[in-house]
Formats: sequence, C-alpha cells, structure tokens
Amino acid sequence: MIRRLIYPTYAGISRVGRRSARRVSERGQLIQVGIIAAAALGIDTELTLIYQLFAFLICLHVAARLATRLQKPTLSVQRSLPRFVTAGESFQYTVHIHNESDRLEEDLKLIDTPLVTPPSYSEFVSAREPGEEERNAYDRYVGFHRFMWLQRRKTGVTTEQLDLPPIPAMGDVHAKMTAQPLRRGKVVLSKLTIAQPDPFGLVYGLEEFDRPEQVLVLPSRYPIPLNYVPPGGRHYQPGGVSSAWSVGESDEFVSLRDYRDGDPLRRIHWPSTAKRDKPVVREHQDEYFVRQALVLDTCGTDWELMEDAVSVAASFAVTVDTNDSLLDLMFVAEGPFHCTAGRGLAHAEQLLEILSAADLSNCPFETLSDSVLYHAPLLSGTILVLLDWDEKRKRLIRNLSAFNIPLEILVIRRAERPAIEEEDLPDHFHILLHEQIAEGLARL
Amino acid sequence: MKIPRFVQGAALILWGWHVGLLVPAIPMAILLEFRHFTNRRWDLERKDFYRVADVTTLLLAALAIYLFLTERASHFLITLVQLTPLLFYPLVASLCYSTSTKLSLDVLVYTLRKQDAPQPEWDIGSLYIGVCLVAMGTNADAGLLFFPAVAIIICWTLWPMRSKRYSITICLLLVASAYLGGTFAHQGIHQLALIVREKSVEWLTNILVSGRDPFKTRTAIGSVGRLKQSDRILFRVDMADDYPLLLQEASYDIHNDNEWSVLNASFTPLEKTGEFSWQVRESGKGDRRMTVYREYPDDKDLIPLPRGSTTIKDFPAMELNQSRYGTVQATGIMPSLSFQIMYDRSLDLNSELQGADDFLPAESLELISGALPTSLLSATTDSDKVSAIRRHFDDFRYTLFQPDASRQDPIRHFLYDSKAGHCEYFATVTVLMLRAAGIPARYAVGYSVQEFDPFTDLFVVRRRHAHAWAIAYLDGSWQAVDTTPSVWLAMEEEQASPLQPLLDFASNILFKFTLWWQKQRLEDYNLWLYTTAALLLFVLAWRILRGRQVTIAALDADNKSAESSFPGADSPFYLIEERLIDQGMGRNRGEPLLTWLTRIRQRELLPLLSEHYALRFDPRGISAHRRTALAQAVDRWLAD
Repeated sequence: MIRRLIYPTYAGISRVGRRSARRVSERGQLIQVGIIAAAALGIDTELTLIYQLFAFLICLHVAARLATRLQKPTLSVQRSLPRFVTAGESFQYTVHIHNESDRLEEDLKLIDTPLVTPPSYSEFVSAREPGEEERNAYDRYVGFHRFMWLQRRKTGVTTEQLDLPPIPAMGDVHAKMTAQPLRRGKVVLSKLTIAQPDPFGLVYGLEEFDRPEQVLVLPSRYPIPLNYVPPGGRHYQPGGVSSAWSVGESDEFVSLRDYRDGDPLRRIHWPSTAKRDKPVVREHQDEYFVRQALVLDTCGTDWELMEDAVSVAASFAVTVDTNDSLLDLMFVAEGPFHCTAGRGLAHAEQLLEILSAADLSNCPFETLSDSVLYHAPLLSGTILVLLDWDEKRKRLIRNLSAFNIPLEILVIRRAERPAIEEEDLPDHFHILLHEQIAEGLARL
Repeated sequence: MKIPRFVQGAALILWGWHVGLLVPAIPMAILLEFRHFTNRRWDLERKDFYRVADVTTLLLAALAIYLFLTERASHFLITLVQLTPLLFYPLVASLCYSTSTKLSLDVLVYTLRKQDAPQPEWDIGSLYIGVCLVAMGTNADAGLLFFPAVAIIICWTLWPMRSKRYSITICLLLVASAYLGGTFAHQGIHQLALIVREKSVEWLTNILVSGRDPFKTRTAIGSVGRLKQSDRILFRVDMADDYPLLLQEASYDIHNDNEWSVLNASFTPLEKTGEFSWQVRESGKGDRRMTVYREYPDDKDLIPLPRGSTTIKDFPAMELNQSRYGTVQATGIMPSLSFQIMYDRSLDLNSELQGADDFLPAESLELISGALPTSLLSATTDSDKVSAIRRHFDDFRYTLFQPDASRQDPIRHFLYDSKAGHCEYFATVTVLMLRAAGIPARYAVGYSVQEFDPFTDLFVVRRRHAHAWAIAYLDGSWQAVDTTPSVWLAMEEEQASPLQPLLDFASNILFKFTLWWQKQRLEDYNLWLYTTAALLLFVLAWRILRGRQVTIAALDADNKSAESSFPGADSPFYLIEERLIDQGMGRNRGEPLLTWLTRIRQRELLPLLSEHYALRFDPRGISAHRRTALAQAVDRWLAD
C-alpha cells in the first residue's frame, strides 16, 4: 500500500537526480552538501555562526547559477550512430560539433542523454533485481534500487560525458562518444547537451538539442568451439531451396529424357515432344543439403535465463555455416515464428535482428513443439535451447527422436536448482548454468 | 579536486583559534601541509583506510556517549561538531600521505563494505575544509571575523580551479557578489531568526506545562473534547515524608479570561549559603529533606517546592530568584542530576499577602454568586467557610472530557450545568468563592506526588501529575485548599498508554545508569582511557607506517613508463601538436596526425611529420643527424 503510494515519486526523484548530476559538478556537490549541513546545524543563530557559512554558500551557488547565463556558446551538433551494436560491449560514435560564433569555445562538456523509460507499476512489482535478496528489509520493501535498476535496463544504454577540446571560431570538432548498451533491442539516444560551467566550475548551464536517434543492440554472443559440428548430415529437400517450405518439386533443370510410365504430364517438354514426335520429359535435380533448426524456448518466466538462451541461440546463429546449408530459427512470440537463413535467403545478421526482439512468451510450450514437429520431416538436425527440463520438453525430444533427427539439446538452468540426475538422458544433452554459459559452451 | 597549498592548514589554524584549540591545531596544520614538501608517500590499501576509519568511528562514538552523558542536550551536538576536525584528522592525514586522492564511501559506512558494487568516491580533503569551517562556526563568540574567514578559505580553494572561459574580472565579480549577498543574507537570517524565536517562545510558553511562567499561566478551561496528558516521567523524588504531597511551582492572583497572572512581577535573588546552596527563608528548622532527581532541559526554569521550604542544596545555577508569591526561578542552570530541598512542615509558603489576593471583579462575583452555598453565607469563621466550600464540591465530578456546550462560558457551564471538570475548574472556582467569602486566596500550580516506584525506590512525577489547586490565607498562613475530587489521579491513570510499563522500564534503566555514571569520576578512568587510546593509535600508526613507501617521482615514472614505452615517444614533433591544440585546433581521439594536419590546413608541417613517422615507426629508427634536424625544424616552427 505504502509502496503503491510512493512509487510515482521514484520517477521524479530519478529525474531530479539525473538533472542534478548533469547540472552540478563534483565540487558543486560538495558546496550543496555544505549548504545542507550548515542549514541543519546553523538553525539557532544565537548559539552558533554556522548560518553565516550557509548564507555565503547559498549566495555563491546562486551567483554561480546566474553566471552560467554569461558567454553562452553558439553551436550546432549532429550525431552519427552505428546501425548495430552488441549488448554488453561498449561502442563509440561520433558527434560533429560546429562552432557558429567568432569566439574560441573551451571548457565545454558534451552529454548525450538516452530516452529514459521508467517501468510500469506492474513491471516494478513483478521484477526482482539481481542480488536483491542481499539488500536490507527496508530497501527490499521500498524497492527504490529495484526501480532504478529496472529503469536502467528499460532505458538500455548508458553514455559517458565528454570534455570537449577547444573549438576554434567557426571551426568543427568530431567528438568520439562512448556508450554502453545494457540490453538487446532498440535503444534511443534522445538529447545532445552542451554543458557550460560557471567561472568556478560549480554548476553548468545546459544547452539542449533534441536529436532522437535509435540503434539496434544485437544479443551478446559466446564463442562456440571451432571444431564444433552441428548435428545431422545432408538431407533430401524436395523442391529445393526456393520452395523449401512448399509442397512440390524443384524447378532445377538437369536434362531431357524419354517419357516413362508414371511421369506427371506437367513434366512433358512440349517443344521437344513435337520435334521428336514422341513424349519427352524434363528431368529435375533432386536437392540434398543440410538443413538445421535452431529452436529457442521462450516459454518461461525467468528473464535472466531467457537472456542467456537468446545469447546462446545468437551464438549458434552466427556460427552455423549457412553458405551451403539452411538454418531455420523457430521460437514463439505471440504465436509460432520461424525464419530461414542461408543459401540466398536471409543472412545471420537478420537472425540476430530477430533475436534481439525475442522475449518471454505467454503461449504454452505446445505451441512451439507443434511448430517444430510440423517441420521435422525436412530437418537434418536440430539445436534446441531450452529454459527447463520438464515433461513437455522431454516429450518434444522423444517425438523428434522418432523422426531420427540428430539433436543438440542445451538446457539453461540456475546453479542453485537441483541437478538433473536422470539415467536415460538423450545424447548430446548439455546443461548450461546461468553465469557460466561461456564455460558450458566451451565444453561442446 | 586538487586542493591548493596551505588551505587545509589555514582552515585548521582558524578552527583552532576560534574554538580555543590553537595548540593542537598548529602542529596538525604543519603536519598536513608538510606533504607538499616531501615526495614520500605510503602505499596504503583499502583495508588500511578501513582501520583508520574504524578507529575514528570508535573515538566519535566514545566522545558522543561521553558528551551525551555530561553535556546538556543543546550543547551536546555543538561540542561534538566542534571537535570533529580533531576526530577526522587521522583519516585525512593518512589520505594526504597516501598515494590515493579520494576515498570511497565504504570506508566511512561499514555496511557498504560488504557490497561488491563500486561505491562513489568522495574528496575527503575538500570535505575536511568544510568540516573545519562548520566546526569553527560553532563558537558564537567568533564575531565579525568568521564570515570573512569563511569567504577567504572557500574562494582560496576554488580560485585555481576557475574555468578558462572567463576572465579574472568576471571571477572577481562572482566572488564579490557572493560576499556581498552573503553579508546581507546572514544578517537577514539572524534578524528573521530573532523574530521567529520571540514569537515562538510566547506561543510555546502557553502550551507547555514544563515551561511554566512565573508571571502568568493559561488554563485549559474552555477547551472541549478530551484532555490528553502525557505519561512521561518528569522527575523522581526521594522523601521520607508521608504522602501525598503537593509541590508548588508558582501561584497567581489575577484571574482574567481563563488566564491567571501576577500583579507584582518583581524578583529578589536568594542568598547563597554554599557553593550551590540557596536559602529560601531565614526562619525554620528545615529538618526534613527531599531529594529531587530532575534534569532541566533549559537553562531557566521554576523549582517545584514543598510547603515550608527553607533551603535548596546542590542546585548548580548562576542565580536563584524568588518572587513575592514564593515562586523560585533558577537562571543559568548547569547540567546536574539531582538537588535537595530542606523543609519544615510547620511553616507555610514564604509569601506575604499581596494587594490582589482578595480582589474579586464584579463579573466574577456575578458569575459565582448564584452558586455560593448557603452554609458559606452563614459561616462565621474562616475554617467554617473553607469547610462549606469543600462540601459544596461533593456533588461535583472529575472529568477530562468537556462537551461542546461548555465552549461559550465554561465556568458557568461547570458551576450550574455539568458540575464536572478537571483540576483547573475546581481551583479557579475555589479561589473565586474564597475571595467572595472574604478570604484572600491564590491559584497555585505544581505537581502532586503520589506514585511510588518500587524499582527505583522513589516517587515518580509524570507530566500528567501536573495539578492546580487553591491556596487560602487562613489564620495568618497560606493553606492549600484542594477541592478537586481525590479520584482525579486514578481517572487520569486509566488513560495511561498500554506501552507505559515498557517506557517506564526503559526510563528507569537509563535513570539508574545515569545515577551510576554520575557517581563515577572521569579521573578514576583517566589511565585506562589514555592507555586504550594511545594503544589504539600506536597499533594503527604502526600498521600504517610499516607499509610500503613510495616517492611521488617514482609513481610518476611508473605512470609514464606505460605511456612512454613506445619508440619515438620523445619525438620533438609532439611539441608542435601541443602548440596547435593550445591554439584551439584540437585533435580528435584516435585521429591520425596526417588526417589532422590536413583537416586543420597545416600542410607545411607534412615534411616534419614524415620525419616524425620515421622516428616512430621505422624499425631501424633514424640517424642522430636526422633527429637533430627534426628538433631544429620544430624549434624554428615554434619560434615563428
């Protein structure tokens, strides 16, 4: 109840905190601490003289704020962002700053502000901050740290402030900014701000430029061993690549031959039949190549395991060679979803883009298993990245095994959960522990 | 934030000068500033700072407890703040002589040490200057010098860090405006505080029972609803006398609109018979003794006295004054736990009759005339009249609740309608009736001592034991005429909080500890205290001083070695780069020199750049001749 009442103030507190962090320097913060301490201790003006310290500090602060209105710079700014970046890996981008005045501009700061997205109350209540159990009871109940963590995560990127070099009159500077994506998906950098200090560097005057731009953060990936061979060999693909998912036969022409009983009429090559006066049919190439399925289990509740699963799937998506093979990515969003990459179809980059948007689904696991089994006859091997090891998932494995499809099964789990001690585990069954994913994949 | 030389030292000396600790402040300042003249530093680790911070925390806690027990509440915090620079000195000194420049918050906050996340770092050196300034301001006698000293220290600290964007004139203007603004602001704050204090004292005096005024008292007559009284123990009394007993704090003779006041407000000082002994009256044996355990929160208050008080002993105060009404007021009360009152029960209140003791305004007479008992009118002696008045109140009830109907004329409502009220109603009407019967009378306030506490073996007096009664001048002496039904105490006790036993227990424990502590003499523990403190500091100093020492030059060399490890790091071409950057032609991070020079249109430097590249990247290096030529060319360019 109390938390419901105070929750709306969190966004305000965080906004004030961000603004203060941009506007007040470290020494300015010391002055502010001094103002608060002097106000508290100097309240009795007959007992102490601390109120005089308070008066000087507050006047210094106000004068500094007013001084930031002097000598305001006249600049224009433009940001150049990369199209893709990877979660967890910092990236650099350029901001072009042009000095439009005839005065050398120095001692300026450049701040790039992401679009901050506060969590909704339901998200706030249902989420758990990593390591929250180590916080004290008050922090756990009030949940301010959780709110801040959730807001950072939803915002998805942090940027660093940059001290700009002197910008000559009418000159330009290309500032290299560094940002750190915190999660996959789209993140937005909204405002570029030029901060100009007061004469003593206590506070900054801010000149803001609305420049909203977005960048797609691809999932983080782990190295897969070089000698890793995906499961399954070549497999007959009726219809070849172009109609891989359609019923019918390939259009790949090989030669002409005489008609034999049972050949379909639509294969008759009419010009040659007319020329030779006997039926001649077209002969087509039978297609054999490797077709892997990469199945990502999104039917869970633990978002941290989901992130691991997406990263593992992304690692396989960029590792499996799709020059001479196909890779079908299958998962469940609002319904079953699949995408095929390789042999002139989509590339691994597209798979990563799709994976960057994958999220936990409310659909039952059967939705995914039905979709996988529907396409099973065409698959030469399947990599399954699972969030759990329960009866539903075991049933899918049994059904796929009935098709004689070689499987690579990776189950993402938390270390604190009880170990799986079944005797009849399928072949190529691996458990990848949360926070030890790279080590687990290295053992493949 | 790089602190300029001598600022910390100056702040320390000013602090020492203001608070009377100049002798320790000077060596402390010299030791702190000496770091600028030596390049020796200790390579302290985080856990070393933890140790220093722990010792600081221990000393702070010990000092806080000591001051809490020995100083008055208002002085406790001020004294603690005053000594803060002394307490935090070990931490600041160890930081100054270490290779670190900042301390993270986990050094000071124990609970943060367990967290893995990096903690924000604080510039403790700059904070220490602030601590010195605040501590300096705790001495209100510093007068006119404090404000300029504060301004100089702060501006001295900030001056070297001023921005290059602004001219010195603008910086000076900023300082001047802050100084002038600050001067007006602090004078305004002081004036405002005085006005607020004046108004609030008047307001508080009227609502707080403990802050009784010897000149007037406002009653709760006319208040509607339930009267709430606090269970808090105000003081304890040790007496061999029979109880119940009334301790009178003040008496008043003028009644006006629910307020009692005195006609004659003059005081005369009591004669001192010992260091802290005061004679209340000259006559009387004073053979009975009462010990009152009470800590006065303010330095000016009234002393509750039993009837026939002769002497007050062990009451440390600057002055004790007595009014013509027998009220004793102490000024300049010093912290003390208890005092004694000698009294003689055969004596009465030390007060002569005053002019207004029998004054009864016409409207008051009109108010009570209808309620005067017939037996009172027919009584001939004073004692009969008092008995008649006492009997009249037999039909009255004690209540802490007044309905809304009593708002218009509460006394009339009490006398004729409800016949129920609390002690102030009974006392006021009794005084008026006594005066109507021709007996001089006053309205008295104080405490009723009735509750015995077996845990402490003392009587306890709670805030709700505050009482009002009438005193009448009968047969040449002042006698208490308490007409309030005797059930009043029991009825008020029914309202006590269910938490009262728990709070009493805590209060008793604290009281017993304070009693024990007061008997202790600090001198008895001096050896232990000094030995423990010295041992702590010695162990700390030994642990720190035996740590690895480095010189600042060596540190710089270490830092630079990483940067200068590449070949050609000493190329003279870097001087040109520095000059161009100074001229505002900044080089972007990671921008190749060739691209940069092309962008800033410095193509004439490209031959020199070619030589620089050869020096930097040619595995065979360049000859000494080419190197000299490059250096000369750079010098020529710089000279132009």
